Amino acid sequence: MAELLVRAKAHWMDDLTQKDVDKMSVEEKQSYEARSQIGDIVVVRPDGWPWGKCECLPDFIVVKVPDLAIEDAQKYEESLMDNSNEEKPKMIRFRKNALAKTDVLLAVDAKTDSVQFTKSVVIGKIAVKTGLASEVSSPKAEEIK
Amino acid sequence: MATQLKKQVCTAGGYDYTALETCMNANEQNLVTADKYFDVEIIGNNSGADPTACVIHNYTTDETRYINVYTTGAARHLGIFSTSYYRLSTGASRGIFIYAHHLTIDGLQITTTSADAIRSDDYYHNFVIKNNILKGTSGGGSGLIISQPRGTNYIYNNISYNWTADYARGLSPAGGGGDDSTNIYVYNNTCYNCYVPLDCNSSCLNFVCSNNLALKHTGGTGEGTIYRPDYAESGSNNASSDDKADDSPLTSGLINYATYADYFVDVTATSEDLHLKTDSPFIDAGANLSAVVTVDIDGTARSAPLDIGADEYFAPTNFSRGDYAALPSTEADLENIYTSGEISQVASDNADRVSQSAIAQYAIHQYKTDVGVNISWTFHWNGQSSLAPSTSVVKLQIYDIEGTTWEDLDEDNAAAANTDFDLTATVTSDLDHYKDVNNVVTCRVYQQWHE
Repeated sequence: MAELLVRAKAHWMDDLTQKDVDKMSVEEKQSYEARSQIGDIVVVRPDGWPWGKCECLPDFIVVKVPDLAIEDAQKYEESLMDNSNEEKPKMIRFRKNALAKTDVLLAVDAKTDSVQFTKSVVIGKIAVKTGLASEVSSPKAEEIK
Repeated sequence: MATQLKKQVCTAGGYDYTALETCMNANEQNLVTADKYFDVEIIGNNSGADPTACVIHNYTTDETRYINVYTTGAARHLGIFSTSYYRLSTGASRGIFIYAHHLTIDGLQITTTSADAIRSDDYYHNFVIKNNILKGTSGGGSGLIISQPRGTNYIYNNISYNWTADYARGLSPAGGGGDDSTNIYVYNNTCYNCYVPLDCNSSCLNFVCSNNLALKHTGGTGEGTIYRPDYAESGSNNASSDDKADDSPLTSGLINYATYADYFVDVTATSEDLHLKTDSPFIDAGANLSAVVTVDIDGTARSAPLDIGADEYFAPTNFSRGDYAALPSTEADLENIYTSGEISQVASDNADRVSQSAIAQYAIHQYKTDVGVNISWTFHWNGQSSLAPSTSVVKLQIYDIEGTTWEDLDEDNAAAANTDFDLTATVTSDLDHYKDVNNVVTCRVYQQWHE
């Protein structure tokens, strides 16, 4: 009985080049690397949630999972954190859990604001991030003009 | 010139977003390149909590292309934590995690069970954190942690309380230290019942700490109510329940004020109302900071001398009554001011009432009410008359400050003598027309008596 609001659009920082990234401070670069990506489960709400006017395409899709309890789904809102330094927790990824990008892009291509899965199917489509570089897109290649 | 990007949040739906997090996530962008400032308006009926922690990051901002997160109208609290207004209630997760510059957070309620309400690490700068209620528990976390800030930052009119876990802070506006370019101004906050209510442990260019209430520390005497006040560059007129408000370089402190029930409207656990009580020693005891702190957490205008803490005390609601040959044209108090006992009587919906006879034409009851920053307000009156309203109409009016006129809101021309009847009206728009500078509106109920 849960609905997942999933990010459907690419992040504006995905267009930055390596040169742009090299100009960032250490702190900015950390935030850049933690940025949200297509498929990130941004919020979780109970069935029948009155989503806002902008909580739809092109920014988000709603994934309805009628047999997933809201209490079990709330963990998908977690960020991937490095809490090894209690005084200074570090966010590694904006979201620890993401729906498979291919499923999101299918919904985007079909201009479908919401899709429905069973619990067992959706769990199979959710990847748990661990901080690997491959979890965020690389800086764009420089163009030669 | 920068243009406005405005998005609206309401947990009940009907607006752009139902969570602050989705709003902040969807609009991440380079505001400087877009030449926009970003207003995030939390609006409408938010009786359902916003349960999702909010991360504000990956915005590019500057002085004129900033982010402003604020509540308005029915979403904004009235200076007391309440489930009737917008609240970020995030359980074990941090309320707002800031990785952004040039950010204002204004008028939110944030509560957690074991995490910081607002936190920023890593050299971010130019914050304004004002008019927020940060409510904690013994489970962990602090009200506000800003670590290693840069730039110029203002923290004022916040109420932070009940952060009682070991080492918790009510407000820690510069933990870990600023640098020789950092300015931090901490004014008129109320920090109550925390392990350390206010933490000044920081080294900055300017750390000015004035007019803050730091009462009831649950930590050791080593920490006290204001931790390391010696790190403040200057400040005055703070108040503490130990002797910290007068530790150098802080001056003119009010120290050893520890009978909390004498200062606040209510200190009962779980129903705290940290507005100042009549005769509170903190009334008119502050330094003049009116260049920055022009209103209090309720939106009530501050006037010199300022009060200490987030609330500027305002005299109790003023009710008056009288009989007049002609209806008064202004909202000036009538000839008989209600006593406090009479105010209590009319505040209860029972048979105890305050009567006003009319020898000279009009019997009038007049009610002045502080409606805070609300833009919508409902007035309800229940009473009766020995002259039947079916014979002589009873009217409810409101005074229009801008138009200097009285306007009809409701009337009863049907009730029998000595029988209860109700007058009710809701002002849903333009309430500003009726508010004075202290957010007080004036209504009256009157009946004309015939010869």
